[in-house]
Amino acid sequence: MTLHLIARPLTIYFGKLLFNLILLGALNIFTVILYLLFVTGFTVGNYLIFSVTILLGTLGLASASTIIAAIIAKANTKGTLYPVLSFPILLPLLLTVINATKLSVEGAVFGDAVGEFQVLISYLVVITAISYLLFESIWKE
Amino acid sequence: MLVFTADHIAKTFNRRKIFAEISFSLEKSDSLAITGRNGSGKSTLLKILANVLSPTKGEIEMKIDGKIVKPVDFFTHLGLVSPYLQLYDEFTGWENLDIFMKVRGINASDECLGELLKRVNLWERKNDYVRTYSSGMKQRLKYAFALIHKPPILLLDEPTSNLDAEGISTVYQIMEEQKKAGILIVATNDSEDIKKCEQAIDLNLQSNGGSKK
Ligand SMILES: Nc1ncnc2c1ncn2[C@@H]1O[C@H](COP(=O)(O)OP(=O)(O)O)[C@@H](O)[C@H]1O
Ligand SMILES: [Mg+2]
Repeated sequence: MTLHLIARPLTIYFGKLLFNLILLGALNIFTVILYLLFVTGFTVGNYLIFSVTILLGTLGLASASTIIAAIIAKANTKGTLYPVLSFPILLPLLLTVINATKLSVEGAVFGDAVGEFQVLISYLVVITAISYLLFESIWKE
Repeated sequence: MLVFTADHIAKTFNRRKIFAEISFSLEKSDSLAITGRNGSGKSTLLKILANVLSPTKGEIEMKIDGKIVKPVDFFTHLGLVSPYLQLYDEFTGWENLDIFMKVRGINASDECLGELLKRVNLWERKNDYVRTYSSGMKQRLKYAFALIHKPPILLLDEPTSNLDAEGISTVYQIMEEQKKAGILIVATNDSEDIKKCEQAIDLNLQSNGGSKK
């Protein structure tokens, strides 16, 4: 309740989103470095596709998990709800990102991955729009 | 000019009607006491007025200098002291106020903060963690939290709970000043507190609050 009294709902939302972005971004970069250094036989064929995928994937994952976490914070059964609720919402994102990563490792040309990127961008737009509209009512108990 | 209006406010929790048809209109230097037995919805009503909780029905309007304030911006113009308020245990009293000030985007000087802390008699303990505070000291810190932005509307839920005689007299002084400067709304059953307010709403009479529909 303290936060309700010192800031607008959207301020809180973007604060949480920014935190998730930084956390996930750092985690992803760290993982990529570990993979490149230690997983033998892991080479990226097309670095452009690879980095765009990482970027869009991080953005999508952070914004989806921010709003899911907000919904769950208000529910009573916190423990089990996250996987149940997040899986269907994250599934399209994960599938697309896996596909795009596969393309990048195989060294496809950028044109081949454009379809994947369109899906990722649409996903981002939808999740952000929904969060923007819903967060205030979720936040206000 | 300052106007704070509640228009036919009702609240229902899981089909349990807490209260209905609460209406009032307050202007600068008005004071309102909200009374009613435990569970009649005093705290709930204050949360709704502060826009922390949404009402099931009804509207709340805040007008400052003829301009309507959007509900999402109510927090800049009101202060709330409530048992449900939780300040950050991991920080010291001073750090708490400093953070709240920065998040609110006001540039009060260190002297201002210091004066506030002296006012609620926490100056000597300002560098102690809030988790080491007694319940009365936490209540005092909540007053500093509520007054830091000099709000024209002050909402107090059980204003004198956990306080000693000196704390209570500070609170009464704050209430008197608030009545001069703006609007004061107090949820209480203490007859001393009620006497300080010019108007009163009794939630027991408003509805059969708490009983199942
Ligand atoms: N989050 C909630 N969910 C369901 N019922 C609630 C909730 N908060 C309060 N209530 C109910 O609303 C009623 C009013 O509570 P409250 O406003 O705290 O009363 P008061 O402050 O007058 O003692 C009580 O019956 C309480 O059980
Ligand atoms: Mg109460």
